[in-house]
Amino acid sequence: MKLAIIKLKLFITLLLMFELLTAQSSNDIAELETMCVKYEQAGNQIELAKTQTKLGFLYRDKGNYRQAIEWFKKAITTNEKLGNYNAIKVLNTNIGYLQSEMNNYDEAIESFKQSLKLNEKYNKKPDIVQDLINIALAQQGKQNYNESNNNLSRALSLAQELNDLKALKTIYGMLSENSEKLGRPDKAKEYFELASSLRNMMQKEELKRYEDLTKKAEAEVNAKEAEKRVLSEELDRVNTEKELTLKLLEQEKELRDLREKEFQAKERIQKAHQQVTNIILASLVFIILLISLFLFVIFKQLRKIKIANAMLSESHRQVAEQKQEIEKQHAIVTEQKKKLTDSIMYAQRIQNAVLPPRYVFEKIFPQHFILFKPRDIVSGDFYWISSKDNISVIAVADCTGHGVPGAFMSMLGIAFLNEIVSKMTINRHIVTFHASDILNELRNYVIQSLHQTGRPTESKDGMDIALCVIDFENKTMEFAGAHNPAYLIRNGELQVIEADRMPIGIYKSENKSFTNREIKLEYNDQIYLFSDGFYDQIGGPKRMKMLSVNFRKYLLDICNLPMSEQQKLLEEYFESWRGDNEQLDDVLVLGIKYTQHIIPSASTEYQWSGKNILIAEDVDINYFLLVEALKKTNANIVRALNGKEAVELCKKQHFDLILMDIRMPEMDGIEATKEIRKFNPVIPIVAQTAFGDENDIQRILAAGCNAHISKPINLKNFLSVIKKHLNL
Amino acid sequence: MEPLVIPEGQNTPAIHFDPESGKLEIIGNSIPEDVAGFYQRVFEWLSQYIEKPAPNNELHIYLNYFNSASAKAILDILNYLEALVDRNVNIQVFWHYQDLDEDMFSTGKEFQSLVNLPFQFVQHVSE
Repeated sequence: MKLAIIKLKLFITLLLMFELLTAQSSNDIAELETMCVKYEQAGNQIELAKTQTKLGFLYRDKGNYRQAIEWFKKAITTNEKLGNYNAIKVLNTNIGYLQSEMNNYDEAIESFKQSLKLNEKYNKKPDIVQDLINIALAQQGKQNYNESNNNLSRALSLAQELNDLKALKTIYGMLSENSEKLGRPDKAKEYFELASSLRNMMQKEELKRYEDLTKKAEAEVNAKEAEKRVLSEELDRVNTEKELTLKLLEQEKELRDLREKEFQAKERIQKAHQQVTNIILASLVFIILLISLFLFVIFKQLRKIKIANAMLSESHRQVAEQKQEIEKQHAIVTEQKKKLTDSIMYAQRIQNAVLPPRYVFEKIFPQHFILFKPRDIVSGDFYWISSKDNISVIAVADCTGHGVPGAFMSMLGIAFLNEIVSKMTINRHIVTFHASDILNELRNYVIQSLHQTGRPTESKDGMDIALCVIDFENKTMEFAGAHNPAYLIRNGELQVIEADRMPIGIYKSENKSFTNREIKLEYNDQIYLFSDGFYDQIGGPKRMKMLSVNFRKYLLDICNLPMSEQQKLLEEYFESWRGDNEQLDDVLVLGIKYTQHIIPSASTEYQWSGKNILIAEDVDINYFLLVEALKKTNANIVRALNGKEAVELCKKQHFDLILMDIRMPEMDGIEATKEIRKFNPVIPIVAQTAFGDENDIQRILAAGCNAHISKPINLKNFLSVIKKHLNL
Repeated sequence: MEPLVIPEGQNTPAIHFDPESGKLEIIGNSIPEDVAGFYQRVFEWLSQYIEKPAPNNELHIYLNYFNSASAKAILDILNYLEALVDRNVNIQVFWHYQDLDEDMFSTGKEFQSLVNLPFQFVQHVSE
């Protein structure tokens, strides 16, 4: 029910938002009711329907559900006259939600069925799924779990047909709730697992989308940097102009000096004048001439000064303009910085989503800690875990650089590790693998994807990594490291598990294998993986590196404390060492305590290790669900993507059983069965048919199948059919 | 040729290259944001220097901390000096490290394996 209420609230919120967008200025109920009467009299059915609907929503928002339903019903009547079936459908659904909210489940179901009838009439499959889910929810409310299940199984078939993962997840969730109520915890658990498998799958798809987004972000960052370069060129230009202005100012000073000199000359002339008052007219005329000559020169200089002044004020104006321009550009740069930061903040969310969630660690290592302090918003350090049955692989890596470039590398690293390790473990085609194999493979991936060939000019980017493969059954640990070692503390003594002195990435164009180190584990062993960011931090009284020797000493000091306490103390130790100095690199320390692993107890009834099962299935989700269903049986699973592939695989390899889908591209299941029967009459073939298609069943049995199971599968029934045909 | 003298900065090492004596020193921390910008001057100086080097050369590297981009710059400096070996000019690299800093020692070893230059390791006892 909780789920139902949340869904209902969400729906109401969405409707409210829709309504707010469309609402006109008059929200007043009384006014709208008067308008209704007017529209009715005027026979304006379209506006009447709109207003009635609006009134319904207004009453609903006020919490008056009864009035709201009344108006919705009136709106339905009006819409029926208009033949507007879409509106009728939506109105009915809304009435259903309100009735559910008031616990009037019968009325709610009735309304949802009205909507369903219309959707069936127009064959709107996605809406039919939603209607069925709504009905099933109301039936849950009524505690009619069986009826609810009936509607859900109809919804399930349709959702599968539509490949609507979200709806499937909801349906499995509700089926699980119903089974719980019906006192069938086994089924509840089964459905719950299906729901959570789907959730996982959807998360994976989400991740893929995020990776694309990251690529886009990189392109944006490049574009921004180009813009920045243009801006800085512009600034250079402005500076040159400034220099020019300064030159002009110097010229002005020179002019001022000249003027000074002229004034001095004038004084001298006046003196001369006094001296020559007694001299003859001729000399007077000469003096007058001299003075006029000087006047002419002064005039000329004055004019020059005027021109220079004009030029100066012009350049002043230019400087002011340039200043304005610089301020404008500064604003642009600030804005761009903000955009960049926002973009990186979003990238951080992606990075956090890609890192393994804490509960994954919690499940395998109940006592552990992760001290993760990126230097910038995003990190070049990352941690990683993968676990299958008794084997857990954990790694701590440090990519070249930090910040955005480091984060790009770390996304690559995580994706590669996922691919490499799942390739090694999936279907158990490879039963054993070594820590060093994973690093060798990771190095191949990095070199290939960065197109490194060993030329001196190209990128030497890559990563350092410490990786452990822990085998809980044999109580052993394998370790391989690229530059980064691991520490093992046992009985108060610390052992350094050495790493190879070479990176993951191109190195001296060599391809030497990483060293695999095997260690017998004892309970309560503590294992630490880390990047060098912690002990390479500069600080302390002399602004020196902390050094790994001090890191080890401190680990030994605190190793008897609980893991969470160790994390706290390490962080305090780091911060007090750092003091006022900036953090230089990303910091990551991972500590785990090796304790008894609780292996999920597999039912002994269905244990088929050593049996090979071929699944011919083209649809990923169906294949995935089958693998989930067979997960705990330990059977080897091989997939064929179509009938042709299934036939070819059967010719090459021995299988104990084939699960055959019917509708597949290239060659369908019926054809494939006929082909296989030509050369192998004994191998058990179990067909998967879609929800009870009698015609298909007859044809597939005629083609040579031994049995069929109908989708959606019932786990217990499914396993017992398989068991029977495996001749067990 | 003028000597190259760059005083130690908050994030950059002290650089003292003397063309007369052939003594080249890099001392301190190297964590500039713009590594290429900082080492540009060093490479320009070196490219001229290797045309007319002193008969005997010593490169002293005594770094406390350097980031990965600086590691690339140091490798480039070493690669420059390999040209001296080719011309039969004496060159000796002295890699200094603090006795407790085993990582700096092994990093030096790694550099040694990457270039064709004679290395000597000089251990300094911590105070």
